[in-house]
Amino acid sequence: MSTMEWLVVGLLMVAVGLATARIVFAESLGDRAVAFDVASSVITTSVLGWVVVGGETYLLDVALALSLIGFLTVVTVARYIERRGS
Amino acid sequence: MTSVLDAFAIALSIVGGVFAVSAAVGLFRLADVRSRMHAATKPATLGVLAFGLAAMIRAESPDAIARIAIIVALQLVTAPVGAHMLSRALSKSEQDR
Repeated sequence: MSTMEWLVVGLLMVAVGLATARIVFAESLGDRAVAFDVASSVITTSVLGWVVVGGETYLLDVALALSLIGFLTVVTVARYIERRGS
Repeated sequence: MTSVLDAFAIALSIVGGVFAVSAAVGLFRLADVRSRMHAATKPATLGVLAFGLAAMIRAESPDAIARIAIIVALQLVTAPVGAHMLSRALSKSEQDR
């Protein structure tokens, strides 16, 4: 891999680490749901980055399922907050 | 020609990586939950969009390109809907208190 590809991998790793740390150290339930939304889309981005850097396409189904699960999680937590309060 | 397309894909993915990092940094730097929702939707969606374009350039088979298009379209549709549902639930639960 070239230097630019390592730069892409490093940026994605920093983004995934920061979003995951925000899930752990969130202030409230809504904050945690927002952090999970960011984490799931950043991991989807990383799977697309694996297509760019590694040229492998077998993980694309994982990205598809993960973005759907992230959306369903946010909707479920929103329904919960609407009913029970944050 | 191929090397030009490869350089374009790498440039697009660096832009998308910067967007992903700015979304994650915005989770820490912005003030309250509603402004953090801005970081959750706009830069994250732009990151997926830039990486989707770069991956479409790199992927050879039409099957993979169609799947990447589905992923990007789903992200474009679901991110605003999820953020809207969450902010509506937050304002309703704040009115009840």
